Amino acid sequence: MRKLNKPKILSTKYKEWEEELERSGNPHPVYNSSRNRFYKDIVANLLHIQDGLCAYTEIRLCDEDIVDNHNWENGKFAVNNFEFKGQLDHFDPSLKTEKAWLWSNFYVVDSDVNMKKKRDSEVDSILDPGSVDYDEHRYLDYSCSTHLFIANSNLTPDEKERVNSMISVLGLNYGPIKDIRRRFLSEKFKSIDFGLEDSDTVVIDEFPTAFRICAEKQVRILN
Amino acid sequence: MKITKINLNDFQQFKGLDIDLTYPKGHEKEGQPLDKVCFIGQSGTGKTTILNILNELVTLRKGIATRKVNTKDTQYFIEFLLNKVKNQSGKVLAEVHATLPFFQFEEEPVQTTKGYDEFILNWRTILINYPAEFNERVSDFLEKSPIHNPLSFLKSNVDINDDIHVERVKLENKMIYDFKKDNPLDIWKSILMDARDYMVSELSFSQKLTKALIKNKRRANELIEEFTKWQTDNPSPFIGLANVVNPVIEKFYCKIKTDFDFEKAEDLGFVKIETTNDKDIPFNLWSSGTKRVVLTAMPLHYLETKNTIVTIDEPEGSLYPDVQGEIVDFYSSLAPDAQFFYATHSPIIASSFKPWEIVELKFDYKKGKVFQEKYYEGERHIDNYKIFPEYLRWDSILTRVFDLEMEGNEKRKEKLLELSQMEADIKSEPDKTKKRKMYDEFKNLADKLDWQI
Repeated sequence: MRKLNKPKILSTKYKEWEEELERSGNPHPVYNSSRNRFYKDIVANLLHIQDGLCAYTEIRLCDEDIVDNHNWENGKFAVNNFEFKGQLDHFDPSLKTEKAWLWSNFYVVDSDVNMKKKRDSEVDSILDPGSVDYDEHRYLDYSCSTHLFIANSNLTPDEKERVNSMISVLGLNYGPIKDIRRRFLSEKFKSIDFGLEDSDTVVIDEFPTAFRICAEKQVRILN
Repeated sequence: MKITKINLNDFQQFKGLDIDLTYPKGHEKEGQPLDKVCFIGQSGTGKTTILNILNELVTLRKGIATRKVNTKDTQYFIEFLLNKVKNQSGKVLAEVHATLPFFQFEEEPVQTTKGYDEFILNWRTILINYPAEFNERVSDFLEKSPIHNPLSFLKSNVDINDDIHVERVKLENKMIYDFKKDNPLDIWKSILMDARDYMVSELSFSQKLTKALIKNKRRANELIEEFTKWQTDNPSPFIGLANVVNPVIEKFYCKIKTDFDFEKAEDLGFVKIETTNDKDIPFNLWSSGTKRVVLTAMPLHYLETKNTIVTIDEPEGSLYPDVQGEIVDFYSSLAPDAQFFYATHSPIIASSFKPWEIVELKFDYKKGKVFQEKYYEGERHIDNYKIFPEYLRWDSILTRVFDLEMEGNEKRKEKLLELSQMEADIKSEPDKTKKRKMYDEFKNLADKLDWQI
């Protein structure tokens, strides 16, 4: 789960509306999903920031070129029908009532992760990918044998517990995605091993965090 | 006859579901009906409902032959619209299509609108149905044998008015065996009738032999040779059944008894089972698996199944995993020309099927209907299939075909996470003694998890 550059705003019309809501101090309109006029802009902007990947698990949700810069006109996403496999998630579900349209609380995530794992679980901001304090290098480690994300060994016992708890809440080790990730990484490393691709140029269009950690560990083993 | 297509337009949980039951492109039997089909899916997705629709529409025998189909091998097929389920306003809710190879008919392949029932006059069996509750009824079947007095049943003379003739005609005309209602032991009557004919032939040989032994030894030797050849060419009905069933039930250390003295009534009530050391096993001591195998195999072995649809719901019932792994091929070997339809929750049963033979039903919660999960991308061609249950480990079938979201229970997941954390902690531990102790704990846990380190 990479740190996300949330300030990168393409959906300026929505952002103006959201900031005005915040300035006024009034409660946000009720969250009504895709019926909101800015829903598509929010999703497209997030997918642009997330490179078309799930904000948490990094599984691919849509083609990168769909959410490219050139598809925006006057602060609105200009593609009428675009398909993506995920859902818009409120990172902190407790804000859903009063601050339903808060930009900083939104991510686009895999539908199963949202529906089956995260739901309305209580969250800890230690693993909020858009938070200024979040640093995946500091908090996350990846086991290249079990293909599970774990807390970094350098953390304090308390931090480890918090991180491991959030790994579970965000579905980073959700079974079906873990299996897809394992196959993806095995294929990539095998193609590098066979000399078909180079570790510096190989295209990693899914699961970049797990790949980076495994690649670093492999380099350490080889050295 | 074999089913090629099921359209479920608006029937219970199905809406606009078309199930193609033919071999895909690139297969040597491309376009022809599948020999076996396996329905899988969560409870409530409609596996049994589809088997029931098939049973009902085949049983009605009212469809019409719609057109002939010319395949790439220039074989002719008659395509049937078997039957439709309609609502009160006449809207078609469900329909089943089927084909018959044209060589079944002694006539020129011409466009036809004959009724389906006109084609089936000469067929022996059109349907055998083993419902899921078959397993619960096996003891009932055995306890309520339809043959009250097998000895008198056998001793009747062949006469147009006697019981045995009536029984034979009744069985020969029976086209549908639905074990929701029927008792598979009815077929045992047929086996007994064949046994009776066999006994008559055997007796005739022995009478001739006795006479020859007294009068002409050379003739006697010839007769012995003839008799031996006859026995080889005509195994007794019990031996035939034993030959097909024993390879399976020998796994349970038992076999079908082939040696009958025809003197005790209880010997003939039904198939006798003995241990592999030749000790009789009474009915009440048969294992559930033995009952299941013998009672399901007997109709498939004994009935004429050339044009038969066989539906088997939960074939895994009472069977240990190793037998589950063989049972589908076993049934196919008993009725090689039949078309089988299974519904199962067993990954081992599913591993007996090619991906195009599996129909996985899933809920579409958003649209409120059931759809078929496709195992191929793009064109329905054998090269485009991505999941091959035959190649997978059992646990992979559970996760990739049955969509189980975890490789074990919650506790395993928790312990695997612990193992991963231990592995990372060992690497960063500077103290060698502590590292060694941690490694021992790590190995211990890995062993419990059957995890290769």
